[in-house]
Amino acid sequence: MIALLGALVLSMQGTPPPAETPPAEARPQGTEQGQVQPGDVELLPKAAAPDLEAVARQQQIEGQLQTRRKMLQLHQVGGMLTLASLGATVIFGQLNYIDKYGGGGDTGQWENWHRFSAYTSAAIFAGTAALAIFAPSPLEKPMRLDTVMLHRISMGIATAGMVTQIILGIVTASKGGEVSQRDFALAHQIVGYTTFAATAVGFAVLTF
Amino acid sequence: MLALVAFLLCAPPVGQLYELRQGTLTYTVVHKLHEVRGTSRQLEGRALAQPDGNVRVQVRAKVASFDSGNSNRDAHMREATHDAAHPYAEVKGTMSGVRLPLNGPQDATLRAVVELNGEKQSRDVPVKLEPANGGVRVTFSFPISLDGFKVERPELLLIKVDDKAMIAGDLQFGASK
Repeated sequence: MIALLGALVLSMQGTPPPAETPPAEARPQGTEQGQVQPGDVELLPKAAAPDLEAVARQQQIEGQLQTRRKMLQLHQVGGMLTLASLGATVIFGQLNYIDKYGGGGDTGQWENWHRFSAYTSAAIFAGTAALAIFAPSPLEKPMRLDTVMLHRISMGIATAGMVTQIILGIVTASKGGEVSQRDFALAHQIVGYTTFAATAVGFAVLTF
Repeated sequence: MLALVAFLLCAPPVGQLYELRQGTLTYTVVHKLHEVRGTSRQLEGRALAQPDGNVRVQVRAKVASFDSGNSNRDAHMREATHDAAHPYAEVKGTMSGVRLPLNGPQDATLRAVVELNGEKQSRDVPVKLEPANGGVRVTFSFPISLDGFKVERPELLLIKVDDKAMIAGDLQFGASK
């Protein structure tokens, strides 16, 4: 014991005088000076261990985040399907317009294609939007102008366009045989292209 | 006698303590369509420089403090690294052959343990040291594997970000008063 004590005292005397004694929390745990393993370095105060309430809250947040991730992954798939179906609707709508008012003979051959693609895209659009709107969001996110905000603005414009299109489409169809139908059809066409453009922008901004 | 031995064994290590004054920690992840950089300036760090040239370092940042310029992406990063259960990303370790204050720029290797997502990995991190404002400026950069840290890689348009992410730091330490 005396030898051990002597060796310890001698070893401490051999080191230069301290420039400063670090605070208690900066002292390494259970390792000899100079032989500290990287993982044993503890210079900063340890974070307080969470209490039971905090652990329960963490588990709740983790569960919500898993749900959110699944919903937003589906939202991405829905976004691609929305863009594809909306693109098809615009193409069929243009073909229908040319057929009806552009010297196509008014055969009506694209009418059902346009109608069904429009219903399909509207349904996919609504479902995709619902996935984002109803996804739980347990982490605070500051509001600021970034690509996500631009996505939301674009999709807000697209949503307004979709609602307008549904109303305008029904009104236009009801004006069959009237001179004003062409004007309604033109408005429907313009709003359709605007809606598609807003959706495409909303989709594209997320890739930056 | 035993109390005296215990006291001697528990004696604090000698040396100069340095506090992190300012700095940044940045992660970079790469997606097929773009590159994302997230930076934190809200860091905590200390270094203990011992007379024998050994230096112990510990630096950490709250995962929630990283800013990529996109709030949704930041929230997604917090999801992927399970921020609620593991709120800190941390680098700590030891260097040898470094005598502070520095006389000039010096390269060293930090034998480090990197902690992210509650996972710890050992690695040697090359660091550059240079005198700055009466203290020392430390810069470093090293790659990590997201899969290695069990981080579920975020995906955009069904394409995951690359497994390799870069961690870079630019830290300025000053002697503790």
